Amino acid sequence: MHLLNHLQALLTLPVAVTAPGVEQFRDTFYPAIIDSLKYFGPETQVAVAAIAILLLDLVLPIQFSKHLAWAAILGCLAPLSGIGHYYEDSKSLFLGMLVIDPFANFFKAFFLLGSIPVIMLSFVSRKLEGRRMGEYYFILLSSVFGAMLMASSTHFLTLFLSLEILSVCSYILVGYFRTERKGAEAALKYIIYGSIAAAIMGYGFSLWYGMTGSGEISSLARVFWSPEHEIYTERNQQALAALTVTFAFLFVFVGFAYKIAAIPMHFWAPDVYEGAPTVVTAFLSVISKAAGFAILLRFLGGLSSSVSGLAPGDMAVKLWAGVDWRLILIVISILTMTLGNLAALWQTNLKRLMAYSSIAHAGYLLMGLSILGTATRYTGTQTIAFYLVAYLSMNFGAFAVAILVENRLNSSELEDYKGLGRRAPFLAGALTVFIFSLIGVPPTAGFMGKFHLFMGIIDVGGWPYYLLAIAAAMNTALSAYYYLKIARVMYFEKGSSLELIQSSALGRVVVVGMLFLTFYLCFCADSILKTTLNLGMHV
Amino acid sequence: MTLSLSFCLHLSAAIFSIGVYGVLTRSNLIVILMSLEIMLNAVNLSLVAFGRAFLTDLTRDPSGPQVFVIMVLAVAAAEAAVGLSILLAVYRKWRTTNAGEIDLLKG
Repeated sequence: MHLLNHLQALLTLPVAVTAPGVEQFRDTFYPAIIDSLKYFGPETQVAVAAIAILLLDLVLPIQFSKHLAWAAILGCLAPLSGIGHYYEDSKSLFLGMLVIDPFANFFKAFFLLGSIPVIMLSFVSRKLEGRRMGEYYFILLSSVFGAMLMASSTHFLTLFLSLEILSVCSYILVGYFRTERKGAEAALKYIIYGSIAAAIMGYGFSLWYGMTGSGEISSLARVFWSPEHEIYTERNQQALAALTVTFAFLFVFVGFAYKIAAIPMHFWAPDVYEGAPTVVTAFLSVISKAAGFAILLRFLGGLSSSVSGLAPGDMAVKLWAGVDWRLILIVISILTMTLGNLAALWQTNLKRLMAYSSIAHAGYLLMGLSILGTATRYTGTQTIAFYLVAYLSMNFGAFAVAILVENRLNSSELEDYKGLGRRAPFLAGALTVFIFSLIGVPPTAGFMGKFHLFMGIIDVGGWPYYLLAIAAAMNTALSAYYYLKIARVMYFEKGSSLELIQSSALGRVVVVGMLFLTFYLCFCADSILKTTLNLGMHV
Repeated sequence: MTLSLSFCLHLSAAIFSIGVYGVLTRSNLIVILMSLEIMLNAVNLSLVAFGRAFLTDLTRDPSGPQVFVIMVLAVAAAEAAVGLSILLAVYRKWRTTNAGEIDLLKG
């Protein structure tokens, strides 16, 4: 302390009086942290499993290395009991850094369960065969750990850190085949775009901190509502303050937009999806995107009614010059889905096509974000959570088929899918179902998901929302063209070979599981919708 | 003599802009990674400046931005480590660090 006092004297700065003393730490902070630890069990279990896999791999002979997949699956299943036990709890953890509430628990369970198909597909993927898999599963589980933290962070410190844990792990996963030109290039592009997004987001956080003096998510909302913040009241500086907050908001949004691959940070998606190992592409397109939406829901949910004490349905959420942030989201949503669908029309590689399709789906999901904080029958959180589960079923299904085909043909070019209807009737049939689900044709999960998104925005009403609905409907029609192109290639074009394509049993299990989920989500949508309706956030 | 908050913020904005300019215009990948570090350092500068401004304001906790700076440094180090190793993998395959020549994925 002496040195610090001396330094502060040199710098002519007053000593901070608010610094917590030893007593305060012993009596307040320490018990709070110890109490939080028991809610941190699921994350701890995933981290322990990841490290255990890394260490196990050191002692296992290389031919057993691939069986670490089962340990990884165990590491994803074990935390579920803890999540189930504390599912209804709603509490702030670690002095406001993290939070536990049904919303966080739902998404944690989503990430854990969603990682299981990824691990199974990694097990069957021929490209990953004959390698030491310890590192791979370690990094995969670490990224799940990051995603789980993302769902529960409420302070910009944890927002930034958890996002970066997921990002840095994803960079490594994308470049896992570092001896392949495409893989290395994809990883390079991913990390450069990712770091730009992280730096812009960090700059947004610093402005945010300066304007509000606090890092909690709800603090930004307070400045939104009353720009006459104490420091900045002299000489009518409210307008400037609101402008700065608007920029902070947009900068932070850029970081999240990068995670969900929405405009203006979507460039990376096609290149990364094409160059990455197909299993990793599946992981990025579902888990990473869902984590981005979880964090966006938490962030924007903090800006909407519940936190600020604004009445539900009140649209008076204003940025600088009275702009409603929902209008910004509507514009981004329309642009994102249109760009994704238009660019997908010309694609000849299935993975690249799925990349543009995933950009388009980010646009559809943004529709759900744009109704946050409005009083309608469907809440934004509910529709997005349901659509994400539906998206998981259809996207993992499509990628499972792509991986099983790639195992034999060593390609994901649409050219090589010619005649797949004869060569692999089961896989082709399953892919067709997933394609219909991605378009949104009943009776599939994609239909129910889109139906609720549309109902949500039409319920709100007003011309921006009707415009959004029209744009989304036109985009759905547009997307049918390139999705059905896949089916046409498989069934109506003759391939050069008629040799049957064999697929492994475990791979078929994943495909059947996703088929089941795709239909289940349509016929029994109510049970899931009821779960997603009650995703309360801790305030 | 003490530096004012606004001076630090202007400096930070200028450094950030230099970083953005470098990322957008340079074609050498190592320079691009350096520009990214410059951007993150600008973030740190502005956080430190706010942290010091909060020292004189008893209603705010100045430790927040300062802790965040340490975290940003850690993240920057992790990103630099992963970024440089990816760059090395790219260089081994492509024998170039020119961003324009690495163009297998497009369309």
